[in-house]
Amino acid sequence: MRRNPILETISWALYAIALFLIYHLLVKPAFLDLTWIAVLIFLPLLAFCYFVVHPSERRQVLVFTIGFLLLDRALTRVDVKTTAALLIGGAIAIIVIALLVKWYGRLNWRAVGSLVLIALLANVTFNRDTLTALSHFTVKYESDRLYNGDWVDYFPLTLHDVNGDGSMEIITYGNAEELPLPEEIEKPETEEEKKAMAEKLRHLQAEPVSLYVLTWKDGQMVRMPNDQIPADTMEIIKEKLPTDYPGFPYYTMKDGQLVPNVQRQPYAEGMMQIGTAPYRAFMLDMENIANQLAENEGSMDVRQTLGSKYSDLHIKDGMLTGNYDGKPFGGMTKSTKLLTTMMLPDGREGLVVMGEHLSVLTIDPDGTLTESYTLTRKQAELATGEFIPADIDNDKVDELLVAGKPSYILKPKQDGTWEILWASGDRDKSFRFSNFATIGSNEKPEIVAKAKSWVSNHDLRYLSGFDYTPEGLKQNWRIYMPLINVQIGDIDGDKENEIVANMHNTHRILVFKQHNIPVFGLTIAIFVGLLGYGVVRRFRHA
Amino acid sequence: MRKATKAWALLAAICTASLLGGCTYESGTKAFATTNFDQKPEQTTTVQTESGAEWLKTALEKGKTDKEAQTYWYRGYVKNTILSRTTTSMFEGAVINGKGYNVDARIAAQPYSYYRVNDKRYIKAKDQFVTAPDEPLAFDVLKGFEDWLPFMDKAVQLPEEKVIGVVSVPFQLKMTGAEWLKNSQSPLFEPLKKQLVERPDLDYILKESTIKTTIWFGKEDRLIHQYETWIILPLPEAGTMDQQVMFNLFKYDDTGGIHIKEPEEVEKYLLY
Repeated sequence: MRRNPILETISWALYAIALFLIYHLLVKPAFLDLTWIAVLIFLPLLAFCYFVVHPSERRQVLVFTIGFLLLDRALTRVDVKTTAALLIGGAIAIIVIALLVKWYGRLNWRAVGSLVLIALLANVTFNRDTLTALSHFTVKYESDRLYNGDWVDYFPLTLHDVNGDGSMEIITYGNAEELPLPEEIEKPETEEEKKAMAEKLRHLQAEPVSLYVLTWKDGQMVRMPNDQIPADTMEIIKEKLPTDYPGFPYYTMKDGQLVPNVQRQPYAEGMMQIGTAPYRAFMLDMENIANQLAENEGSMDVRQTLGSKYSDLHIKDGMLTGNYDGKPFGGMTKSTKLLTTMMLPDGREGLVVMGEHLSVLTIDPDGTLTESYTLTRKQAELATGEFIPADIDNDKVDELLVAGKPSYILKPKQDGTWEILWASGDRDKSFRFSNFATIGSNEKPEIVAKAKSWVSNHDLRYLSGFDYTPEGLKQNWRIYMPLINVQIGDIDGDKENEIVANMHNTHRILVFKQHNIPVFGLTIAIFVGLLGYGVVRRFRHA
Repeated sequence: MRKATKAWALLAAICTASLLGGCTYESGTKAFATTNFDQKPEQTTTVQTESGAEWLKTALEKGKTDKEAQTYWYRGYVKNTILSRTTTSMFEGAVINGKGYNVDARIAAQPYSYYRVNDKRYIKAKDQFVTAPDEPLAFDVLKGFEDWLPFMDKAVQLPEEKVIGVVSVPFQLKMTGAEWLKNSQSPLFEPLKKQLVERPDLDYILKESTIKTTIWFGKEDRLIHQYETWIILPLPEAGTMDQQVMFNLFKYDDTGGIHIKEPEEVEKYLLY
């Protein structure tokens, strides 16, 4: 070989890195977002790439490319249940692919070494979830699984500065510490063991569950012991956690446990008297509601503070009472939930509440309540909706982002009606607003929403950042993961907000940190550069 | 060659633009897409001469005595929606009246099976069969339908529709939870009726609730084919809880297709 061996090794390694970036940042997102359109774009491009390589080198380049992408994928999917399985699986993948590449691609060992090294580094040096977000974010932290129970798919999550250090703690529920996973699956052998296991299987079991407060300390995320959290802070935390009823009405969260309210045999038999099914369902609901009301002494909802002007809010016996700007107010209401507050066109702060319908209440100088705006169930699906106040056009009046099917951006008008600034597509059942907040070093807050791919009909939703413009929502970024429970706040105390989220049924918390490197542009430059290099090399050879 | 290079350049430009170009999600129709909330049921054009109560009585009578109505498949679910969370329990299987039934069930994401054959009862959970020790409830799948009889004279007949291939006549009832509780003779309601005496806060929940029940009767066979109840209750800190209780009874008289495990089959694998 006339080439310098070190230079050759480096060249192959750089090619592998370029391949890695192009595949994960350009090809994969293009397929996820554009589906068949991506095929139309990439097929000719692939053909071009094939022919741009000189026939004498084609086999080597092709085999290296496929071999590298295969090994990268294989290493990502190696069984991770035990360290031994991980090591053996990884070693087999490396040996098999390295030999194949060596033999079939007739590549030298320097090329094979570069291939293996880069694929290995790509799998051990950083959190692979970063690749789904790398155009704008890196994964700063991923927690272990926080819940080891049998059935809860996700718990609510919120952020609050628990220890008063200026950065946010992540608050959710879990039981990984209280309910460690058994080392191995028990196999009952003796009569006694069989009896004990049968007894367990007959009944749904209670599970421990407790509040998990995670704080960033010395470059790591650690759990704050719950007994170190003062009682009044605990009250605020519980108020801040989004209301959620995991397992309702079959389970109730009570005294640090998720307690079953039904059991396998009686429930099956009860429901198999099919005519009685709604009667039984209704009784179970009412029993739960009765217990909850008894525990809350009849209160429907309570908030110590809400927005900038409301305090001591309380809904009880159909009455809403509280203070607005320090002055008491009260009035009748059919609402059961205090949602949030929003700035209205007349300069007042409205109180957003929900019962069967959604209402924005204002407080008159004499302390009476007026329903200034209403969103009825006829207009929007409220039962599953989420409502986020957001001043998206910077006029000091909040719009209401309604996450539902469809989703809307509603602007309150002076005359008490809503103007629809934007609505999600008529056939788009996936789009949901999730936040309105400033991320990273950005100056302005942006709309964060879960949105499906631009072309596909598949419902998988990716977290995306948007700016509102009169033409529509302009996409700023996208994380190719179906994230839920999205919260935005400064976790690590650097005065820049991170995105905190998790995925359905994983119980792992992810923290995404924004970077300001134009990774996407750079990757395109690398791609174009690589193609350019190929063209030049081809014509010089030809 | 030059032409080809130009074509490639153009293609590359299109690819780059499509990858780089900021996508804008244009607004859909700027009008509220009306939901079916509080929608008046469409009146049927072919009014039956008999009332809903008579249809129900006939269905229960035939369900108990008709030879063809003694074996059937069923599936059902109870779906609760609170805010953005949905919790579902599900049941499906087959019934042979007088002998037994099987239930493939799920409560809050936990699957299990329940078998009831003659006087034997088993649970299968996590791939293990165990005996079910509790005293059983009466084996009477149609139990509870008779409790709707006092309301059925006011039921509205809806347009006929096909339910799993069978032309059916639906009847619908709508009331508040308070009315349901007050006028129902169901013994299941007794504990709540007693509790209400000292719990005025529950009165409020009941008055503000909505119950909507629809029963679909087969036009030809007069048997019950579908049964749906919507229960909408005000829920503390959560707006409302919307619950759908839905059952289908289908393939009546499928004598050949229904097989319920005999006790001997289960006993072989019994854990305890």
